[in-house]
Amino acid sequence: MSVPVFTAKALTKIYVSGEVMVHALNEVDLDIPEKEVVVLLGPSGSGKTTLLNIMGGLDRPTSGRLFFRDLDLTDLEDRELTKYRRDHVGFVFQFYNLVPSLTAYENVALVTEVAKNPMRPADALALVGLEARMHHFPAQLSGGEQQRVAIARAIAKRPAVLLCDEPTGALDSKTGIRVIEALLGVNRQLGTTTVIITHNASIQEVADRVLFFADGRISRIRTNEARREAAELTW
Amino acid sequence: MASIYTGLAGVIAFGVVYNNARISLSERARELASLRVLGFTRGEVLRILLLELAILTLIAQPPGWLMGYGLAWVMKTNLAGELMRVRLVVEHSTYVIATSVVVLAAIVSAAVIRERIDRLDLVAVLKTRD
Amino acid sequence: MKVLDIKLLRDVRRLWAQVLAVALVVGGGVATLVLAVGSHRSLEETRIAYYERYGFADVFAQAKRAPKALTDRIGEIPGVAAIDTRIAKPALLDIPGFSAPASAQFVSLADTGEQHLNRLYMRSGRFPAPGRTEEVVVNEPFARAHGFVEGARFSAILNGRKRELVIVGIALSPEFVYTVGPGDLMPDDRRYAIVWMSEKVLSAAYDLDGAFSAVAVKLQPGASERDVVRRLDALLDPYGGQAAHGRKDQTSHAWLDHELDMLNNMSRTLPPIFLLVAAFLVNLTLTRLVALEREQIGLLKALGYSDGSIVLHYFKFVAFIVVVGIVLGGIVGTWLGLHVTALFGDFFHFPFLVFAKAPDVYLTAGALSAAAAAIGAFRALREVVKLPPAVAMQAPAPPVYRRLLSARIQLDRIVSQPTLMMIRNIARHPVRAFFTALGMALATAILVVSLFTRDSMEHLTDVTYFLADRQDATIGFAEKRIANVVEQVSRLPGVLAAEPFREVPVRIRHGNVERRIVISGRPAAAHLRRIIDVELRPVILPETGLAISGMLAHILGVGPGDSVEVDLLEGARRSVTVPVVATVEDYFGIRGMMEIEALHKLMREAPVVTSVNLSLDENRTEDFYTAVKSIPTVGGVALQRVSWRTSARPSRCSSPRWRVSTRALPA
Repeated sequence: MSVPVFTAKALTKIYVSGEVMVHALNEVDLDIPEKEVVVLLGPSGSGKTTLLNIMGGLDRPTSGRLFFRDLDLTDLEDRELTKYRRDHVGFVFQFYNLVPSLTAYENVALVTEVAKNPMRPADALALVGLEARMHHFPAQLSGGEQQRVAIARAIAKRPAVLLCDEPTGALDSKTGIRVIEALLGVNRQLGTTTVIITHNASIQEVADRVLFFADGRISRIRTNEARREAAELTW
Repeated sequence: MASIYTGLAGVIAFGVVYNNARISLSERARELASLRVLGFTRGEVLRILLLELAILTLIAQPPGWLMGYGLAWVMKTNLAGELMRVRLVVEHSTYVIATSVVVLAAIVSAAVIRERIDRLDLVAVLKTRD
Repeated sequence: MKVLDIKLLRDVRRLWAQVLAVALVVGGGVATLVLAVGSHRSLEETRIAYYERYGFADVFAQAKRAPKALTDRIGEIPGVAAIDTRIAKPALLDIPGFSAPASAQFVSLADTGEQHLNRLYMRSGRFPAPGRTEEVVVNEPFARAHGFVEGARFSAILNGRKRELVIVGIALSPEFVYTVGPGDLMPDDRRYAIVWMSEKVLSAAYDLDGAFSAVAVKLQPGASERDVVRRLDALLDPYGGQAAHGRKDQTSHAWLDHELDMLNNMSRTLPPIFLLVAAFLVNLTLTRLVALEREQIGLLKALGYSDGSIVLHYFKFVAFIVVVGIVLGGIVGTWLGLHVTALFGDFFHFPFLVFAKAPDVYLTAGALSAAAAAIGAFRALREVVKLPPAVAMQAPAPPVYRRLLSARIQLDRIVSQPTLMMIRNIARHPVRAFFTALGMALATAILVVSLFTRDSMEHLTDVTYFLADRQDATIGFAEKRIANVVEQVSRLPGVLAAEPFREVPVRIRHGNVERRIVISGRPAAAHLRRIIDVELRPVILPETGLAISGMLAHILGVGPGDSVEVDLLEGARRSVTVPVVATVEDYFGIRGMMEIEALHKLMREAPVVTSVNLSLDENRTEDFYTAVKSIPTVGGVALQRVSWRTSARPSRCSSPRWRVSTRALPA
């Protein structure tokens, strides 16, 4: 078996908020293999987002180790972390986080300009079926369209991993399914390892692997022998 | 010359007050939108913001007069020469005019803010962050 | 174009109102500096060019009657480059349709038509033709005040004889940029003229054939003015010479210098205050504006942008605003500077204007504004950029609110909920509230400082005309007169009271510091022309000893009880040591004051006066005017009230000189 994309060892994150200490992650061990679609499920505050942020280099653990392939992310300096994000990670956020003053095309170009081996922004938008609305500003796009722009922006750099935090959280089921379809399509065509956080249990059907979170730990792991297509989902 | 300097001082004063009001609005857009959602009227929301502007403007006046007097003293001292010297006299009317200009700037800014609050997009403001 | 730059342009467009408001603050600061320094430099250069092109002299001296032959000996003084000997005499004028007595300084024009120094700039007309005894050239301000053109006629009393004169030319001279009549505190162009006429005619009128009464000297570069003055004094002494002096003590130059000095001081005082305040305000504003971009900064970091490129992006944003402000301020400041220069140039009657370029000012103003803005942006970025992107992208954590008062006092019962929110918001951000208030306070402060000079000037006018110089008129004599002239003058029609006044030019010295001043003598308890100190109390002169201006005391480094050396530049020309008995915090000039009897004793003279101060019956001024014009020994009449009132008419700010001073100060 090849080296996993991510390997976590006793990964711990403690937030100090006012006078309370919160164990967002409590000694988590984990492997995420290449090219898989992994879904993180669990209630609010169970540590999913913290794990995703640390995997994406947006945050640092309090203790423990996290490897990206054989790169130890926990040791990296800010500058190296930025380079890691730029070269390997694509993000999709719940609220899309597009730059409102830039068009769909320009939002994607924002990433391709600093990436090493990007695709053309137009191609990335075509992958998510938005070539016709390239020159619209975020305010002129529906929520689902905005999220697909965000996906195009995330994949345009051909990242090794795509990290999605509640990508369908703000969307109705029909648009949500289209967004999941776009993510699966990317995984299929480019082989990008994809990690999706969701509250929505039905999304686990499309995953290769499902990690259940509770109280900062992984309580259960389920592997699906066969992934379902997004079109088969209902919620 | 006097009117030129006063005019430029007025421009600076206006720029400061206006910016202050606009940035306060941006900084608190979310809070104010939440209030609107909770059922506060535009007028009430406006009042919170403008009261703050008004109080800070008024609090600023006495120290402003004091600093103005201090700067005038510096100038008077610098200007004293062999041919002529002036005595530092600042009439009450001068303080009144200075404060009036600042208050006027505040009122104009308030009018702009009011229009902004009317256009405050409640949903958008609440949705973008969480 | 880089996508980040596109974002920049769109952000600028989205925030145009705020961008413009910040740019205006920057522009306001830049404009004041450019305006003040630009106009001052232009006027300074104009003056230099004017002096140079028209040969303004360096040293001036008067004598009673010096033979022309002395010219060559003056020329032999080391350091002298050029000499002009002339006849210069004060005289009363009689102008048709103008009842108030006017006076003039008559100056001779070489009949060879060749002027070496203090050359005239002819606005219009020509020089007097040889042999035409009635033809004169007058200074432009006087001509303008009366609407005179070539061909206009008036008369003058020269050496006791009335002469009809006709204007053939209107001119300006570097020697008479500022013309203040004797006894007057400020220029009154209708009542004081400079009249140039043929040397032959003027010398005949004053019995000065083959002689001169005034000399102007141009120095060689590097020559010692002090040495030339000493030698000139020695040469002129046998001929009734009065102490020679440099430009510093030449009335026109001194006042012009003073006005330019005021402008200069102001350009060094007010604009830096404005600029610093503006810079500080820009700094505050941009800190907050950039802090609002917190989420976007987090996003850019998440997308893999380095801290450096993010900082650069916001620096560009800030730079754009500042550049707009600098360009705006530069243009407006330059335009205003030209306007002010032209205004002053017109007031000073400069024949031409030189507009000085000031690239260094733009640079200074621009650099300071840019630095302030960059620091402002940096302060905000430092905070945000160091946050992990995951944190930056979230809304800031809910701020900690405190109960303002103890829990038992239910504030919300007292004030409404919105008011409570407002109060809490201020209390929550005490630093921000403080700086916001400070910004507004500074806005108020610069308004106060730009307005206060008006108050101070009005105060000065009030003190001068209603407390100190309360006389309605001053009659000045061409030569000093025996004190009983006061009796005679007091019997003139319309005169209610008369007070003697005696002036003696002196050099006053303490240690190495020396100044040329005038010591005035007046009755201890003068009623008309009084001395008023800063506390607005009339000063009663002591029976002996010298009182001096506080400023002079400061310059000389003396106080009451110290002694000063005084060279009397009149009469026996002795040098004496005089005790300083009082210092007076006054407003005008640097001067010495003595009780008139004490001054007589110091001079070892019988009581004499150089002028008489009068209070007049308002209803009989015409009679007074007629009577005074018939007194041959009168050299000039100053009408303080009239000058003040007439010049007060066009603007609230009293006289032209007040006006210029008020302008020089930004009142």
